[in-house]
Amino acid sequence: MPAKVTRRRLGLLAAPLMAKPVPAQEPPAADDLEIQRQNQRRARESMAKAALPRHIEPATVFKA
Amino acid sequence: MANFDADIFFSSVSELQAGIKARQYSSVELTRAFCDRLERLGPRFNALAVSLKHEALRQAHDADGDILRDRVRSPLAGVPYAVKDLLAVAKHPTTWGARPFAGQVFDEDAFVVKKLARAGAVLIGKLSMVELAGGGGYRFAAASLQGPGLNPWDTTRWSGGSSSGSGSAVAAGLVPWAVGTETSGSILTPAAFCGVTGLRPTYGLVSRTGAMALSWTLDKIGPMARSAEDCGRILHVMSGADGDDPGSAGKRFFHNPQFAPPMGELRVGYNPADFDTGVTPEARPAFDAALQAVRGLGVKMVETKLPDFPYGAMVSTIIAGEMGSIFEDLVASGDVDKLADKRQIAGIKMTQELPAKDYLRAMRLRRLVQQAFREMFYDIDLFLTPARGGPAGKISEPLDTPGPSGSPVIPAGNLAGLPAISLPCGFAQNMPVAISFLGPAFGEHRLVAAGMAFQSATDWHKRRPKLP
Repeated sequence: MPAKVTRRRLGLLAAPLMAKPVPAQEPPAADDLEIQRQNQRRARESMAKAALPRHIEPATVFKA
Repeated sequence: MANFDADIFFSSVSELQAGIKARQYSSVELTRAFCDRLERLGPRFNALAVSLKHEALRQAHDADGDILRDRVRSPLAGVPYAVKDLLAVAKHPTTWGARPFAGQVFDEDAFVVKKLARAGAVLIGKLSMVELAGGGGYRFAAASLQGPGLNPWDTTRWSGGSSSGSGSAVAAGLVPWAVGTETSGSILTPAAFCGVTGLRPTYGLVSRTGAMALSWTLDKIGPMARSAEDCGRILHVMSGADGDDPGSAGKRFFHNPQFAPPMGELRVGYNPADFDTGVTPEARPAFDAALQAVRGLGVKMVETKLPDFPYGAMVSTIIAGEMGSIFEDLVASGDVDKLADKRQIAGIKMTQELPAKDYLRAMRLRRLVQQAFREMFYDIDLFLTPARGGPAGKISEPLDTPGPSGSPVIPAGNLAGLPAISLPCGFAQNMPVAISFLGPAFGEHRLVAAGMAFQSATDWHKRRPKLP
């Protein structure tokens, strides 16, 4: 039989202890997008300078 | 009913458990005291996301029953702790620090939470964090559902991110230890800024099942505590194989300090420039003294340099590539605009434009990074750097304010999946600063041993903030 769903089980009693949520902001201004675009471009340029022999395969995603 | 003075809230895990075993107090009494303190002081530092007092007292009651029957399940049994709100706790909010996920509730505990429960550890709350662990790149400390993480040493300064609440809660004695997570700096930075000890394990040593994914390649989970020894005890319990985590290494860590390598046999690499031009002028005396203290342990110091790679660019590209897929629906729905930090919103939107060739170039370079670090650790056993170049900045300051160039060891170590430990080593501008040891893959025993030796010779990790 499924456990009874109560306010406590849903954590609602804990909710008042959560701090006030930060109000929603305006969407980012054009300059924020431009700065992030520049960051991405700089990262690309920076990586392009590193020597990378053609035979190197991507590192395995899941192993150290 | 036990009476607790302030010292109890700054005791080590082993001291707290010893008090329970000696019947000085019960786990229920200890848990109630920590819960009350976390609820009372946590909001002052914007550290508390969710209090779990009711469930904690039930867990503590069970732990007391076990201990009465001389059945101590683990070195953490009966001792309270808290987790970063990035990990699922069933039937309670798991917000990832982000407004779009404020109502999110999971049915199942994260693997680590289950493992710790089986070990008898008592979960008393969830702690605040930078929204979505900072993915996309945020500009202000206020990038969190709970507001900016406030540093217990000075509440006008940041506690660091993204494990902000974990850092400030341990520093203020609101919990004996906390779970943090790191993709690139999120354990080491708040540990350094708050004056606590943080251990980032080798990639794959601690399961991430039930934790928010930011980057499958880089995400790691680890302890933030009062000392290197506590971190060792905690990692002993937290680590282990998990078939549900494709990144699990299938290994675990055993805390056996009696088998630690003698300090005289350790070769510690360091780059003198990291301790000179890589730190702020105010912090230099503390780092100079720390360097001397490490020398005084009898280790062999070896001047060396990190291999030269564009670490920062690689980390930001890998996170963008993976986060762009993980949070594709957040962007598509427009809910991304509900986040608190405009720069971060823009960064997450930009992940959708990342060319596949950029991501793959970063992942191919990562293979060279891993090889270069394997070779570096043929010649040294540990690599020493300042954990951060100086103390925490003001919460009002943009995080992209230029500072000392510093060592790139945080992105470098994360790219290579290597473990590191942050150890408080002094003060600058009345704020904690810390050194960090980086080790080879699955070299946590060396990190804990070096940390314990350093903390036997110094007392920075025992300093406490004056609470408001």
